[in-house]
Amino acid sequence: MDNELFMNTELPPPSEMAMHFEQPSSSSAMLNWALMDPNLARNSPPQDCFMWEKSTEQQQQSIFDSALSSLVSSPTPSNSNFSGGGGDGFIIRELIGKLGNIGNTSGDICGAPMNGNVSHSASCYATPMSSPPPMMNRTAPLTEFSGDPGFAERAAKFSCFGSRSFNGRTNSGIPVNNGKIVNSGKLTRVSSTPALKALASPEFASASRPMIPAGDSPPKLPGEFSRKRKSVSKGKSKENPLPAASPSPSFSKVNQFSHAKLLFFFRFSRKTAERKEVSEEKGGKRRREDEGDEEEGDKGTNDTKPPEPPKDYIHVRARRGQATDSHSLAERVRREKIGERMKLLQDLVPGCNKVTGKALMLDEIINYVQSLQRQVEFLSMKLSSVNDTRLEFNVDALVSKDAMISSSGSRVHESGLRLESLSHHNYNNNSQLHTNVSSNNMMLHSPMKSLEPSALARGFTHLPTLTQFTDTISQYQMFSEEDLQSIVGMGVAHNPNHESQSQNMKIEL
Amino acid sequence: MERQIINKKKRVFSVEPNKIPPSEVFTRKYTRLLVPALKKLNMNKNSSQANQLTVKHEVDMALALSAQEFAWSRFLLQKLSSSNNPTTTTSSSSNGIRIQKRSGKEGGDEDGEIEEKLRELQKLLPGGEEMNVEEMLGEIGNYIKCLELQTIALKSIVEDTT
Repeated sequence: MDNELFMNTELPPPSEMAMHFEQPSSSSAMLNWALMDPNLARNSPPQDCFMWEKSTEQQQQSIFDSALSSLVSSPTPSNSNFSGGGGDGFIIRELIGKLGNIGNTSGDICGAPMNGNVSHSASCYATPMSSPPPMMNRTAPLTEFSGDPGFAERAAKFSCFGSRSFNGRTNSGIPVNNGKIVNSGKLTRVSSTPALKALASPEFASASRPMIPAGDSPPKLPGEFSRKRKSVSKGKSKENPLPAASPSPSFSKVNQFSHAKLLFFFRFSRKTAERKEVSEEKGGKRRREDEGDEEEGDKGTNDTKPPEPPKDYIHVRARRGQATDSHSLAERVRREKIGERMKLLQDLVPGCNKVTGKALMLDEIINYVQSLQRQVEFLSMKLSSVNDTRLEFNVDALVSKDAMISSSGSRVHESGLRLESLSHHNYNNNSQLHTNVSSNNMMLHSPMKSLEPSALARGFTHLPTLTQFTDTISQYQMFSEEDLQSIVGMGVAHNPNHESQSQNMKIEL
Repeated sequence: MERQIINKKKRVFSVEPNKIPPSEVFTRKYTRLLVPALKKLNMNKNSSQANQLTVKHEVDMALALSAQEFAWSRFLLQKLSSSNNPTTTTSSSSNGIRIQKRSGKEGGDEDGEIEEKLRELQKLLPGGEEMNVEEMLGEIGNYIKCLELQTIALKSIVEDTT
């Protein structure tokens, strides 16, 4: 689409820009443009789109970064810097001018990051701009661009893209790398908004995918996606996490008035669409669920369609070669959800990692649950037998011990309880739930000290952890001693001189 | 200054005082519920005939009460209150045969097998059959976790008393 406008233009990097990057045709154009206007407004994104679309190389990003840095360093945008070809240079200049207009105040270089990420976002933004923005002086407001038919769309896209996460960004975002070419591949300022990356990546993902036909580039216009009233946020950028997440930050400064709408929609649609699309990397057909079985090949419609307001839909993309009716799509979504949950379960159930496949994993899970239930049953039987004879329950100690065990992550299937781990935390945990080891240790010592001098059998209540005893002390004497000793794990309390008949001094060190 | 820093650090440390790991919360609740119940049981009943069942009942009740934020606990409570016989988790042990590959169940229909297993899983979870599959899968996760914690708690209780 419009991207071709810029993409195909070869712009030699401005001489003053110490850009050392390969210069794919499109990227160079971008770079120049980016470089020229350090203060590129956020509005530039729409224009950036053009560039990006064509530049899909990764290097662009690095180039872009360097360009960005140089761009930052050279605050004075000068269109004259472009030494590109006549037409190309003009275009570039125009862009720069526009950028300058928009982003005068913002220090961020919208364009710059875009360059690198052009590939990613190009598709997104490229389409809206049907024609190169007219040359504008720097002061021209962004609204001027609205004249472009696709500009509004793109602008919205950009703004959406950036507005959400970029809003927080201030002008200080742009790192001032005077003369330094940052090839980190990431705009440092971007890093402040990780959300942007998330935003960007899905959008970039779709854009960058070379397989995405140009027609598809307007990605994920609302028309394309099947809409399901589900949380759109599900569509995180699972699919191609674009390394070029950084470019999105540049959008922060983009004007939001028109962008917001587009971007918002875009983001949603992209995310959800991308999510589904990722697995289908086959240039899947965008599918509009609510439209029935059509639009298999309706990719190009979005290009010029004005972005629809973002909806809370899950945009499902039909897989290539699969049915596209709403039922199968819904089922597909459902299956994916189930798949996600199963992945979570996989982490929970031990031994599931080695198993692959839903069926086997389900088997494992079922077996595990059954074994757990059997264990519980067995333990309860044991408890009932024990309960008859012994009644000394040290509730607090038990609780703390259990808490410690559970918090220390011991698994049920591990043999035995590791009370050693409790020793550090036990006392402390009872009173406060912070696992401050140092304080735990300290607390541990003090109770022990008080424990020793007292006859142990009677001094337990002094211990802070045993403050909740409600039963008779005698009952607790025996038990708590054992418990304390076992819990503490220090042989200190191991004093047989108490009159309790604690048989098992469970001192587990 | 340093002390301030240290204090500050300490303070910061406890700035989120309520950040109790949920597993701890559960275990605490569980033990706090179960142990007194067991004690009461012990005191009230001297015969151990019905003890097993009652203990199991208490065990399950404690589980359900400790995990009330989950859907399955509601169902568990219902089961417990409706029938005094603990037909809760233990009953599933009767089905607790390892899932064999059911040949002839669904033939080569992989999806069918998977659905079969999902249904089986649903049976294991209290109230699982009333949920849809996705929901059930989510609930199974925390049910497993609570079961694990329960086992730990029971083990420690048993160990403490033996």
